[in-house]
Amino acid sequence: MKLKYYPLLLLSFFACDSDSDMATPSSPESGSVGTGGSLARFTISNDHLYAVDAHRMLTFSLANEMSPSKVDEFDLEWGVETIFAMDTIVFVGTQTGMHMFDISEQSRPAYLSNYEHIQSCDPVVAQDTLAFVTLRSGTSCRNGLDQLDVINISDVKNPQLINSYEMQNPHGLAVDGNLLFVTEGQFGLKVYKILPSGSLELIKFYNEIRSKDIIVQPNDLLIVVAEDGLFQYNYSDINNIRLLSQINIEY
Amino acid sequence: MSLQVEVSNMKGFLKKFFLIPAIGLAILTLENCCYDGDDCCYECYSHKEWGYKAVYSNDLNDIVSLEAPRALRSPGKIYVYNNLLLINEVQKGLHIYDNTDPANPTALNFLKITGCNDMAMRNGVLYTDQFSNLITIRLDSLQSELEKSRLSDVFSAYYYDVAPDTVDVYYECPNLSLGVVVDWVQDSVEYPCYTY
Repeated sequence: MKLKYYPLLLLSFFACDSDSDMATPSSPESGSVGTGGSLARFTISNDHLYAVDAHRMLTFSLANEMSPSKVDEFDLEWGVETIFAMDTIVFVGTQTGMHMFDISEQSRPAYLSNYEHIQSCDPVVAQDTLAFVTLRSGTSCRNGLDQLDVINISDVKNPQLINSYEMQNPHGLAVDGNLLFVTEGQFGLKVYKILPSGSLELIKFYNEIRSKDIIVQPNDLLIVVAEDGLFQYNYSDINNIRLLSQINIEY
Repeated sequence: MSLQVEVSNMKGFLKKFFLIPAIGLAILTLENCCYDGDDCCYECYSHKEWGYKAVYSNDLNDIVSLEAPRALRSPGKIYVYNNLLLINEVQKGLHIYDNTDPANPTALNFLKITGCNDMAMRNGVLYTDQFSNLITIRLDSLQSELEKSRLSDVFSAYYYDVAPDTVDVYYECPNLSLGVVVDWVQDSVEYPCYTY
């Protein structure tokens, strides 16, 4: 082993982005803005792009859309992984927790609070007063747990854990109304019903749907990507998800 | 005063005590490290190895190009914009599909962007990372002459993200300040890195 690679090895403990993960219907102004997955490091809200690198959140103004300009930079700890926007709140998933920012003043995100957990890989999605965070063990995620946390964010300055659920190898998440989709990597796809209390009830576990990144779209369209390809499903009957098409990987 | 003397004596003692081993260590270190780069030095068996030399470019047309669709490999993140479905091929670019009919997605193009892992779109404009740079591309009509721009050095990126595809080969440890590595050519390489 060459010494030059030691920093790389160290950094690899902090980097969990080798597998891309999940997605969810995100931005409220999605008329002209697209949808990414829960492992996204870029998200657009109104005319700003919010992006995270390994240790920072960066804000770019898209006022001149072909020539973005950096307007803000916020230092965070190492191990920043994902970003997700809901209305005027931006959620940043890191390996030690979830940070929340208020983006009412778009070009100047204001720090709200954070929720800390055991060090793991952790995409986050949110809907209304609930945030969902998956913690995944794995190659580069030290002390990893496999777990799904439901967090009450009705007080954005004081997020509170409601429930934790043991998982097998959760990668991505997507929410549609009272349905929560969790990709379990090679183990399959889980569909939960979100109860008003914030508890989750497992509706169905599709073992055969191996999945990592996930996006849900209007018209009950579910798009998942796994190591062996990209698969699109119709979930109008949640107990009987129907394969629409697949794009296979060439090895 | 006496304290100062003691300190100066102590310094002399430290010098004598540590200078000889320090010089010895330095010699040993020099012998073991054939190259002392910006970050650290590393052990190597030879100063020169046959491997891959980096070809750099700062021309955005070399870095970003719209190509014919190609088979999907190492998929990363996915993104949906209206009828378009984008699938990242890790570090290579974006596969663009027309997903108007999800039962029959149609491959449109492969957008080659070396060093790309993330993307977001608004008003037909794509924003993507390209190592440490933010690339902006107007995608509302897919044609070979794409309107594009680059904002340099905004993200942290690391030279070890840039390596040839082949495993078990020597290659030039890239100097990202020279531009973007757009190709690798076989050549003799000094103080090489190695792919595992």
